[in-house]
Amino acid sequence: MADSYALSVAEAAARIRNGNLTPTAYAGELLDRIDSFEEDLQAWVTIDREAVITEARERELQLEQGSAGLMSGVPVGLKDIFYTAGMKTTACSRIYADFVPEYDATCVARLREAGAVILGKAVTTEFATSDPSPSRNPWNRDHTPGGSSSGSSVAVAAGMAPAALGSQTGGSTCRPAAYNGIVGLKPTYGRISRYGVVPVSWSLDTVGILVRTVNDAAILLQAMSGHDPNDPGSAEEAVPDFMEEMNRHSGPPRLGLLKRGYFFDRSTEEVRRHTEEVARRLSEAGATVVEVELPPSFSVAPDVQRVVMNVECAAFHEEFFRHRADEYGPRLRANIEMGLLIPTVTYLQAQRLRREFRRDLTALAQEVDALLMPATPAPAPRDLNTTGDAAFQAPWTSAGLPTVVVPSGLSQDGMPLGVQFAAPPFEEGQLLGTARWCEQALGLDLRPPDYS
Amino acid sequence: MASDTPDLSIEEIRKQLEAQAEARWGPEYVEEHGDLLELAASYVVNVGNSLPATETEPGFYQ
Repeated sequence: MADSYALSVAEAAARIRNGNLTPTAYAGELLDRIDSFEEDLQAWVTIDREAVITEARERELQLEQGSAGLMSGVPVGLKDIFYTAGMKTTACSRIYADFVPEYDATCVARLREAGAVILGKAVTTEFATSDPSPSRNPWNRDHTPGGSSSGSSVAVAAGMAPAALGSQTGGSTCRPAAYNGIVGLKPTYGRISRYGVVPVSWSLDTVGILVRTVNDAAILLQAMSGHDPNDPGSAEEAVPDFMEEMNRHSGPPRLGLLKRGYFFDRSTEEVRRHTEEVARRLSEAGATVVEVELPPSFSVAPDVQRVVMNVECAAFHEEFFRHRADEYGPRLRANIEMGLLIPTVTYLQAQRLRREFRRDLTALAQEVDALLMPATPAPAPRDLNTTGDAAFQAPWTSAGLPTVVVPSGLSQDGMPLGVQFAAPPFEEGQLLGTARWCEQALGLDLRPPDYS
Repeated sequence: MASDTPDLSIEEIRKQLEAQAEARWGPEYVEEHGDLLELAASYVVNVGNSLPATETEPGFYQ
């Protein structure tokens, strides 16, 4: 039997329901691993051991009383931008250093309703933007873990948590997932409420899920999805049974490989070859792989994302920034300053262009079960002064389409490589069903050697 | 389909952004942040030069 820390969310939840694992023992094992590895990896901002064990005991009592949720007794880490009642939410910033929310973010409340135990608050880059955090990549501590959901990704990759929440405004969930060899899901814009989440950019921000299997991504998505009137961007779209939807898409998929243009042009030779090899292996396993081309409207998508993100980020920070600019990191400060300078008309035209390429990318994605592309242009850089390149995530975030990253191998220097799938808006069931088929066809179980 | 309006000039936009930056943060800022202003100008120009023609754009008023 595997150590509990290595269990997936689905496995752990099943063992807890069957009485083969107690929430307190499970939480205790994860807390011990955090104690062992935190000095090396710096993934966490706040861990309240007593609160974790108390919540785990509450889950045990609920189970004894016959009340079992989807995630009963399963610990989840939270990027430190999610409000937690009575627990600091710092956004790893000096501005929010002492902020203690009075309520849980809606998605955190929904996780607790599903039985999850909140394990702690994970390191983020400052205000979930691009100044690197102190977190280290468990595959090689000299390489960036990516960002902005750096601590969440590191914690899941190193077996300190089976799941963690991140967020994505540019590439902040799927990029660190790829760099750390785990699964990252960015759902459709509006699928999960951002009420009680410190914003970067309200028309882009999306709650992200970091886990070790595609199935687990579906479990967390199910627990958190649904309309929330407190979030103006929250969609009223009905929430399906994602497992049922995935099962309807469990056969060999039709994949649209984005081989020509943007994604391959920006990739290293190693990543291009790897992605072609993945496509070949999936094809041999029964998938139909066809080459598809990006629409012309895609060409401006990366610049549109930067314009929208910087202007909205400046709007959120304007008041703090006027009085406390010196307390911001250099990259976030530059983003805010750029946002303050970009003309209003440019911002509005960028929003207009977003509608165009969202429409065109949706039409492209509807031709197949999922679009397939490399997850990142290169593996995690050997550079702790960067969070890496979000170029392969930002256009999808801007378009609002759901994407999932699945680990697909290792680079020559032993760092994880991944592939990214995209599907039409609100088709996460189809996306995850397809990704699960590919995950099983690839048959990998990547774990960082020093933390396994 | 591209707009019929003439292409924006990156130099022209950059000068406008420099003037705004100087008014906000002083001349030293403009000297020290040339790369940022160049990048911002490129975003403004690329967005402005990528607009669909209004008469052919479905959903402009949506």
